[in-house]
Amino acid sequence: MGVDILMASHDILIRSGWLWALDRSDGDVTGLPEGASLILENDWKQMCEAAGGEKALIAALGAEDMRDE
Amino acid sequence: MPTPQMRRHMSQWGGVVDNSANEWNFQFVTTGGDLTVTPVITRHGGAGTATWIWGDGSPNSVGDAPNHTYPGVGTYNVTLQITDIDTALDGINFAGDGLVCTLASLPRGMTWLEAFNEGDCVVSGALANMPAGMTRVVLGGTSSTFTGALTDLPVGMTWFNLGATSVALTGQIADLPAGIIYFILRQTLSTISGALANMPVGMQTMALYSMTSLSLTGGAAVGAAGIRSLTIQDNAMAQVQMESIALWGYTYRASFTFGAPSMNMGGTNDNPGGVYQDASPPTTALERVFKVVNDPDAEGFNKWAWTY
Repeated sequence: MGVDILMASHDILIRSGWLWALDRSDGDVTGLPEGASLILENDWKQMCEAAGGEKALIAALGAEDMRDE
Repeated sequence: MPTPQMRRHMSQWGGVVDNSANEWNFQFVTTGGDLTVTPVITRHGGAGTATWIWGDGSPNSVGDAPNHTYPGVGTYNVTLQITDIDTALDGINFAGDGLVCTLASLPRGMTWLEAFNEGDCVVSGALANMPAGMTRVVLGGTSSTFTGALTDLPVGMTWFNLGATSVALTGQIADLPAGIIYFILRQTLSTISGALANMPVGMQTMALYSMTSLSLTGGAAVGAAGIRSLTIQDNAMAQVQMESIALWGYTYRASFTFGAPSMNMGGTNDNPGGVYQDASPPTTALERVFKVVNDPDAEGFNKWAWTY
């Protein structure tokens, strides 16, 4: 029954141990300070598959998931 | 005097909370992909078992974290019975379950309700009918239908997440209750306006994404110095509003206390004016955004990530 609305169609921003979702529409530009990582959605999905799932990947990265907050 | 059956009917459909029966009536809707429900109760404390009457003729379950598989797709009338439900029940997590109920039916004493990212979940009603004492409502990614004004949010609400729902709320940022930490309305029919300066002190996350109407400005105060994430994209806001918000971020850049704040103001909003470049002093929106993202003058404030 589940859907995954917030988790889909977003790039991922990881910064200082915090993980955010960024919904970047066409033409949007993101200014990123030093130390931030912006991971495009397709790259993130591939990383999740390689890590055995999104939860495992986030745990491996040591990031705190802020997407539902 | 209503019969127990009448009281149950009134509770479910009429919005009358019947605590005398120590029970809550609601529905589960199941689809072909998932016939199993796994609600999890958290209690304030207190004795008394939780009994789940599933509404499909199967034996009742007893316990705070049952697991029940329905025989098929359908809508089932469920009764949860707990001794002294109004003092025992703290909240229930319905993640993955197709909960259907009204705000008015929520048991007195419940302080939180979660069914995050459950598209079959429909919690409906007016904010004013939410029981007093609710502190956390996390229904992002559900199909819930809320109406009402932000002034109807209960005092003490700290976490209000109705992302991706059919929600139509109205109000001003200044109407948000003091003490709220998370306020998230993604993809709703809401109409909200006001200034970021009026965010309650202590606000950490505010996401007002793809609303029917969002009209924001920055304002002449930092508002919430500990803000972590602001998401206001896809609201067709005008360039002058983007300018005002960029000015707010730049003006109060030394006041933000969170180490990695994030702003997303792109999408269908107008583009901020100017060129994303260093300039001293900055005079355009994007020059101000450049300053708060890069701190080229080494002022030492917490830098933003900023999508525009």
